[in-house]
Amino acid sequence: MILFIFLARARRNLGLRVFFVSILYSLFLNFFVLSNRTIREEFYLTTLSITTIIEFFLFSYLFSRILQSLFFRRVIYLITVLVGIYLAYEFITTPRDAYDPIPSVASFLIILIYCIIFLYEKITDTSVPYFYFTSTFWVVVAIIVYCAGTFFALVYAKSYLESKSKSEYDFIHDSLYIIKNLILVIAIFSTDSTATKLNGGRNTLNKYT
Amino acid sequence: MILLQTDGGISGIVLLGTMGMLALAIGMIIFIIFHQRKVIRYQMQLQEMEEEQQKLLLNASIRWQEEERQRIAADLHDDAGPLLATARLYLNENLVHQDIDTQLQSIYNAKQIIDDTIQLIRNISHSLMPPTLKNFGLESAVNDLFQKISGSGMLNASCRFHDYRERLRPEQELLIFRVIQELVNNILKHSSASFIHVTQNYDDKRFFIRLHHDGKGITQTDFEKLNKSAAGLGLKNIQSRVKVLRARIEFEKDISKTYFKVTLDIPVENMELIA
Repeated sequence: MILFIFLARARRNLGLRVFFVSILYSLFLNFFVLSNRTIREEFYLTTLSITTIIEFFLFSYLFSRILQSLFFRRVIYLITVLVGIYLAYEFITTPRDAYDPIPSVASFLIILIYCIIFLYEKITDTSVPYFYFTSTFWVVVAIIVYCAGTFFALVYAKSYLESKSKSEYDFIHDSLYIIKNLILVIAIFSTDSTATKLNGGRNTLNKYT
Repeated sequence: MILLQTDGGISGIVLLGTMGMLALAIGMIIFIIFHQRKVIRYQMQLQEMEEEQQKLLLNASIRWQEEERQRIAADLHDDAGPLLATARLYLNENLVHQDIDTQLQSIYNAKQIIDDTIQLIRNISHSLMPPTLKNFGLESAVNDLFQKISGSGMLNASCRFHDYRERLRPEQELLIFRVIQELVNNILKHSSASFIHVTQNYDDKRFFIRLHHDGKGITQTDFEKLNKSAAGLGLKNIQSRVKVLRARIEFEKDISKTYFKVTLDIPVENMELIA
């Protein structure tokens, strides 16, 4: 039912669509891959690396569509290509039984920078003052809170794995995952039409959203 | 509590780092929301001010229309009415019982009065829409107006249209003419100027009319102040006409500080030429 509501709302907003895909992927991963107790650690670590790559491309796509400045969009395309090459290289060269958090940290950092650029762009555009009523704003807030909150845990992810205290990492990650989902609920129930109405009929975002 | 454990010596750092990052992220979001609210408040204030200004302009326009109607009504009632009544007296029913000389004299007097009435009505009509403006355009109408002013000997009024080959649409010409007329009127009433000079120029981007005078003038700040106050009906009329023209008007003192100038600037895209 939640997925159905999400899907219904996601049809109207690109940010929600991206999250919908991301959540579907997480569900698939959790139910069909990671729930398997006999899963080997190499496979688990490989899944993490693939998830990082998929999330990075998904969010890069989202920001490349919602940013209005052509310059920043071009910068995102360039960064996506460069970081994509780096992530692919890391994925290929890193041994399957080892986990290197640098690609995840780098991709989280870049996504945080995208969020800051997006918010800066919106804050300087005074023609759309009711921006915080939009779904996209809350989607970006969810991304910021999740990326900023899990950033340090991710930096020390290798230490967690080595010290075998994964539950601590899970606690931080899962708490922020819940917070992210709660913020997404706000995003789902924020209607862009309210913001557009308050802005006197002007679209609050660019034509792609 | 699990985060407070020091297993492996990393929990403290992670906890602090996570809290710090979260605080930064939440702080940034709160700042953005508050900033947006501030922008909204500011824009609402601006909107209110704009609405207030619109209301003032509308009131001024209505007042001006009422005054114009009253003037026309007074002209018709005080001048045309008595003239026609007098003509009627000359042509009353007793005329047929009069001798032929008296009849001719009465008819002649009535004709004179009717001619005067025609002239009076023509004057009223000309004050509503100058015939020179209608027939020959803005340049001729301004020339005509300035010749009349110069002819009075009060001050020297001249104008020069540098590039007015294609006429604007009559409605736009009338609006520009009324703005010039109002400005000249104000100069005559308040400035004690010894000369008025109007120039017209036209380039790729704009059409502008500049009026210079050496009397007591106003600057843009004074104009805006007067526009916002209840006084200054003429200036509000100028402002509303400028708005209809989608033009810009600027009142300034010349760098030499010897004379004042007013520039009416109409962007080319807002100009409507006669096809």
